Amino acid sequence: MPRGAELVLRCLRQEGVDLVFGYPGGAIMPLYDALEGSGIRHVLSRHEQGAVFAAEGYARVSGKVGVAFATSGPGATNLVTGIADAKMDGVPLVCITGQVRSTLIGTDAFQETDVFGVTLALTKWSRLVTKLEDIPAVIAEGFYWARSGRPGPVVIDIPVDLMKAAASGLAPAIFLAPQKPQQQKPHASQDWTQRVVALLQSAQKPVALVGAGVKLAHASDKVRALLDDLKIPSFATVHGLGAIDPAAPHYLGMVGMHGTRAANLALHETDLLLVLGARLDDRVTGEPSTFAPYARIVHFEIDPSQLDRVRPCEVPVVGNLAETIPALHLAMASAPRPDWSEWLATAAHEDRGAEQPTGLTAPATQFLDDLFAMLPPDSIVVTDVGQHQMWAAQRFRGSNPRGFLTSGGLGAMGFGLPAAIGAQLAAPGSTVLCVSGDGGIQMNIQELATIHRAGAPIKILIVDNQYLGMVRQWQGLFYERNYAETDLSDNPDFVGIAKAYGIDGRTLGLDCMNPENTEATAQTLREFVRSPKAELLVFHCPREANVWPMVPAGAALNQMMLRDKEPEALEV
Amino acid sequence: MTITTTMTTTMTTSVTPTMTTSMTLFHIRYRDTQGTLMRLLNAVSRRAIQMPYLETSPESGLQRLTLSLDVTPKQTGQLMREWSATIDVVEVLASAANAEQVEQPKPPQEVWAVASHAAAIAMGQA
Repeated sequence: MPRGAELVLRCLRQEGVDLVFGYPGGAIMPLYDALEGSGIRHVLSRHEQGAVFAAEGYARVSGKVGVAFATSGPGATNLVTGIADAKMDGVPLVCITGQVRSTLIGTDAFQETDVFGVTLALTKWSRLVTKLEDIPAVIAEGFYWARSGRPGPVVIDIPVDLMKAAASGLAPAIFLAPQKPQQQKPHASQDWTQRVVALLQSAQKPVALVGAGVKLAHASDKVRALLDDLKIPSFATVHGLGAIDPAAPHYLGMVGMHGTRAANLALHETDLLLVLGARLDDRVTGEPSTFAPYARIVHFEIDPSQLDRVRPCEVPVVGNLAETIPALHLAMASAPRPDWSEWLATAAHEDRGAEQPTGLTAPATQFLDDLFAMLPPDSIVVTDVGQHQMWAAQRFRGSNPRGFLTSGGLGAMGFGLPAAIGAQLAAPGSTVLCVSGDGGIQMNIQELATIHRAGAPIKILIVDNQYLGMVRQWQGLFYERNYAETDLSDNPDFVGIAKAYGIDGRTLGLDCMNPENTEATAQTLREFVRSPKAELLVFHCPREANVWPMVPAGAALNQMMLRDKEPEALEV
Repeated sequence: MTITTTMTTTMTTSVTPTMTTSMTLFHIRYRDTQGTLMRLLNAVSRRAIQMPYLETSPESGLQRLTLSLDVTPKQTGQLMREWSATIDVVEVLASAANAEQVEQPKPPQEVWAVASHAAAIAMGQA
């Protein structure tokens, strides 16, 4: 007699799920009991947050919906950070949580938490299932919303008694989305292409800002074709990295708080900003009131709730970028256009180029340059959150649209290691490099056990400065070097920890960057990258290295601090 | 379902000191599915905007939420876009609140009396 749990798994299979991440517990035991023979592989994390970040990593690389299982109460609440992360970054995610049995709901039963209520503000859609026969429709609808429009997280909370109940006669369902009245869809007007063409034709300094939406829409090729044709300066948000070929002559690098000088200046000076699938959060805009002060804005976006959040846009183009970008490209093909070559030459001039990092910053960035240069072209870099994240983003030169994963919106430390697991399982043939810090790695270091058991050959780099480096940087710059509670000089032996989990590791001191050690360091990095199994590498970088350039909070993008020992922000 | 609360703010309350607010009436029609009302209200509460008046009632097979909020034009835009993007929301409309809607105490006193009596029974005081 099939039970509700088996019905859940059949519904997941119908949605194309063959891999889930999770952690068992009392209220979800029937689901685990039914796993064997379901056709679904389960990867056991060592903490539910590891499971949800791994599911996110899997989704970000595969483009499929990531799935995480957790039990009721603490199991479910441990998912919350990952759910919030998926909401911020538009990641398709379905979390299935066990709930106490139906008759106990609302009684503060053992391991009962109102997961539906707790996650309401963080989810795109959620349901507490109350009837067994609702399971197929709920799962079908949940997957639909997770992957439709701007993707996002879904929580489906299922009481344990429903998973244990006999479910004969029930089968997976298909969800047909209800249509909203046409007038409620803020589509761009019919003549939007003409309006955008006219704006481009009158623009002297147009630029394009590329964000995560380009990747989510699988529109990288189309955007590359448009920008290669227009030959206007282009740059990417941290989530847009890889969407544009970094070797393209019009590409100026990453924009924003730690973006390149060239990109930030071009964004400040532009008179026409094409926003392609970006939310324009404060890390990209700098002080919103000073953002792109001379620009008219054309915003290509699938989610209308993302429009006009910083400044009203001249033309909102609401729709799938895979459709709207080719439409614009087609319209521009036959339209006369100004010669923007002089503007491009100015924006990309070497005088505006990224300064080579100097001083304490140089070893970390040079080390990443050397390491990244050894990665195969289809490699995937997954970062944690902090200084290493920004260094990695600045130095990343990959052209794989799904080759750079990071917690960009939420900025959740602990993301890197588990997300790398999901990335590796989504792309088993690719080299996956997890770049973490000595702070972030300790937030989910237990997932080394998951890596070992899964046999995932992830390369784990810890950029170790024995500080919570980004916080320390801000303390140094804005809090008179009062390094309150950011010292991590008593870090554990990371290599020893890795070995305890069955993963080999080694450490490189700062002297590995000395000229006499160049060849030995290169050999170590080659062995690290080419190892057929998981490896850990700890690199000790200068303790007080900072990330440059930097736009201080509340400053405009053209008010960058470029290097150490500047008493005030330098307006350029 | 009908929910009402009393108005507690004045029309000049400003959430963002540098921007002028005005009392605005919002009408949202939505399918009454799990959590939809809470998502709509959360869009308001996450911005620390007070809800001096709200009412929700059935309407033509859907549910209608009426909110009177003292908001800036920017907040109005943000709220309407966020509500429109909420799953199961069918329609979002906004208009300036008229004086009657702004000034009329909600709910009527007799409703409060009933509610208070029920609460007293629940607490064993009646």
